[in-house]
Amino acid sequence: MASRSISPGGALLRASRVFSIPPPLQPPASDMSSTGGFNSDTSTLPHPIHMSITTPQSSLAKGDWGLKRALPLRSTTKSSTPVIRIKKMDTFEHITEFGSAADHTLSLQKWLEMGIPLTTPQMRESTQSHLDTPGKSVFEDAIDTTATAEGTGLTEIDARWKFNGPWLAGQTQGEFNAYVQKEVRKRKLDFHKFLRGACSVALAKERREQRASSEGVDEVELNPPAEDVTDEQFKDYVKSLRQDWTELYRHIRTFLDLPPASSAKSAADPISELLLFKPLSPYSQEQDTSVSSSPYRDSGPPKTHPSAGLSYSRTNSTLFNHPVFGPQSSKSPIDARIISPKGAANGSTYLGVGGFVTSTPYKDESYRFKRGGRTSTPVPMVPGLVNIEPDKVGGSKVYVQPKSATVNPKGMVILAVDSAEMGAVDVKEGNTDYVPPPPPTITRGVSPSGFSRTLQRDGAGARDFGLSN
Amino acid sequence: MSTQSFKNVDAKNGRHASSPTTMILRNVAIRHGRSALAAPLRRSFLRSLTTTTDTLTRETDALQHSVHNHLKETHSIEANINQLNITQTFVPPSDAGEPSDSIKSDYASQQRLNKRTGKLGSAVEKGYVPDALVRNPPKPADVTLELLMASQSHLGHSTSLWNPANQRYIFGIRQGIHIISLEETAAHLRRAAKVVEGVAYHGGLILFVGTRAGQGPAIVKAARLTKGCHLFERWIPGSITNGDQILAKCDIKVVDKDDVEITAGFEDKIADWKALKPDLVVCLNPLENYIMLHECGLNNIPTIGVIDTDADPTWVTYPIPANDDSLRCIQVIAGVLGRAGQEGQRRRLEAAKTGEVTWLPPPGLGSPETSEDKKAAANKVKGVSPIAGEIAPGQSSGQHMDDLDDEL
Repeated sequence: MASRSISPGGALLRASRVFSIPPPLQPPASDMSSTGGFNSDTSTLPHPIHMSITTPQSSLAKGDWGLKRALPLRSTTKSSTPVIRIKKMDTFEHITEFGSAADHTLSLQKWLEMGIPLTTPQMRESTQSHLDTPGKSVFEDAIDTTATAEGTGLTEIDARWKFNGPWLAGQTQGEFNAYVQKEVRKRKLDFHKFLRGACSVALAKERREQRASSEGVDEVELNPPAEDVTDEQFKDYVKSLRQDWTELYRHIRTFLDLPPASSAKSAADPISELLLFKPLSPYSQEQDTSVSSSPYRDSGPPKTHPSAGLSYSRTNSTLFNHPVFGPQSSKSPIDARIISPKGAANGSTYLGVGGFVTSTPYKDESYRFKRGGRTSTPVPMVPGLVNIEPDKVGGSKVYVQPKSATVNPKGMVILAVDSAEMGAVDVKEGNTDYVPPPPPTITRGVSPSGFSRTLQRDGAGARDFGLSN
Repeated sequence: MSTQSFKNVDAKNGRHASSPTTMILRNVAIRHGRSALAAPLRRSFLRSLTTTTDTLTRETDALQHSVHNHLKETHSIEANINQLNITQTFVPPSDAGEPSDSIKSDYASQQRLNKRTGKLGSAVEKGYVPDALVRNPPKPADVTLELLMASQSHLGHSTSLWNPANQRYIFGIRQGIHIISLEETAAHLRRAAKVVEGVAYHGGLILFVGTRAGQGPAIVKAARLTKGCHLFERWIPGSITNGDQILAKCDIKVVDKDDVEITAGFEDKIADWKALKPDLVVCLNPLENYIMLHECGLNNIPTIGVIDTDADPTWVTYPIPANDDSLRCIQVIAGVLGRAGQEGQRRRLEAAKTGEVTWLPPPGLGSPETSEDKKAAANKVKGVSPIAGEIAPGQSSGQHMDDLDDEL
């Protein structure tokens, strides 16, 4: 059928801005835990699901947002961040449903100011050292692809971040059953056809091997089309596949375009791997250990582009050029809020960095509660990390240095931070003239990055009011 | 008196000035005359920064010379006044030194700079003016699909509010609302513009009604262009069907073919003339004005209405399917209709200049009464045989009634 001709008005409408507002995404599902989460209808979602809309100042004053009707001035003009999201263009009550989109808009703005590039998720090969390995940018040419040309190798096909099929490892049993019943079952005949093609290729390969021994095969037989495969040959081929699981899985993956699964070899715990590892069949033992090279094999393929549009930078190797002091070895540190001290919630400490929640730097001694008995050095803790400081105006804060970030398949931003360097904090606060008093007795085991500026602020007495940021 | 001595005196008196200020003010004018009453000379800071001091001293010298001459002239008076104790130590408070005409030269240099660099740089284009549609409404010929789309005319109501009588105007459903076809809107708007222009050409009275918040300016502008009436507040029910009661206090005037008011001759007839009815009503929010549209229907008054997807198109004679919630859309529609009416009025007056009258006077108005007519009428009442008065077919027999804005 030929493409329908569009009226001029229809063509205009298709190109209009109102029509380009994407339909909202599904709100992210809450955790499937029985512990009772902290879900709220009004809380900021882990990722935006609506488009943010803004309007020029002159139109804002008139309530003109280019929508069905003018929006009420009282609720739109008083905000210092007039950015909205449209929930419904029109409702039964003759109103346009909208809400403020300042939360995600400002988070994005802060993220861009911090300038953190996005990396691929960390692998599970090693236990602890992975936290130190430099991340790989999501914009690397080898992995930033969604389609591959005909006849590319399995490695390139695996390295894509977008697949048609679901990530089976991340599915629940119910989801898997539904997928098999609704999607896979319908395609049984197609799969037979696909297997016939694979069979013909296998036969050709077999003949080529025969030719190596006896020179008597002509060219036509070398590449028999799929239709020429007899039922007998096909039946034999299917039988052989039933024995060879690895080969069958390879065909199924290609047919359904499934993302690579995390291999059993890369299990997180080597001990459990040793305990549980039992050879299933003599066939699959060897080939099953082949590990996909995809960086998303452990976490699952991302829902969107792995950068999620947060940052388009490829590297973190940039210098901060201070207007007075020139290029700095470390970037300007970020003032992070201690949102969950040790004594609060469930024992783990969290920082809020530019609107993104992250855990405390794991390397720094001043964030560690359990000290090794051997290196029980008197490294002071970050104030506010153990208990809430109620007398601090604005809450407890600490300077950190963002290191890397990745977006997990749920759409959450996983941010890793380091503790800030003391010099960088001084430069940031303009305290370069200030000579600190001699530090408390530091003997051994102190992390070279040192402790943040807050220590000296403790000594400063009057300046320690939480407002100096 | 040299410059030097003058300055010294000045400085000295600056110190002493605190003692009898209120007492001596009376004498100040006498002693120092013009120089004391004149405004203190303004010191230009810009100039003191940019120019050398020698020009300043020269100017100061010149001024002090003139002051000196003036003092000489008034010396005889001064001698007498100086006898007084108080005035001997007083020197007027004045801004010390450096008078200049820097304003003039600054202005000249600024002009020179503008002339030299004015053409440099990029041309700043005019920005978006939100109420440009009200100030300068588009003509019917300017109606394009782009303009209609930009003014949100295509956004209908939620699909659950749909009135199925509007089906033929609807393009589709998007984001939960009906989308009105831009072509339909443009076609119906042009047709309505033709109607307005025709009514204005034939001398009809056009009433613009838009009673929603914010529609006022567009309504008033359109009514002004068409020389009609406007209503942006509540429609008083019965203003048409019971107009003699509700509009009893409103003025009526009689105009000739050139819209010039005829003041004499119709006083008696106007006094008991019944209330006027519009010849065309343009309603921009029919949903809220059903009563008015109903009254129009009872009186065979044609109506034009903006019909959104939840309104009934049979309420109005000439529907314009469009978004009635967006102010920009209302401004475009009202502006286009206003411009159409303006064009109709222009054509009517042009035709009147050539002697062609495009409209008929209301029946029963007749010709203006002259003094002879009145006499004849009086005689008739007295029973005297009437004098056969000839009423010449008056050239200015046409009249046009125009409501005032406050009538409605």
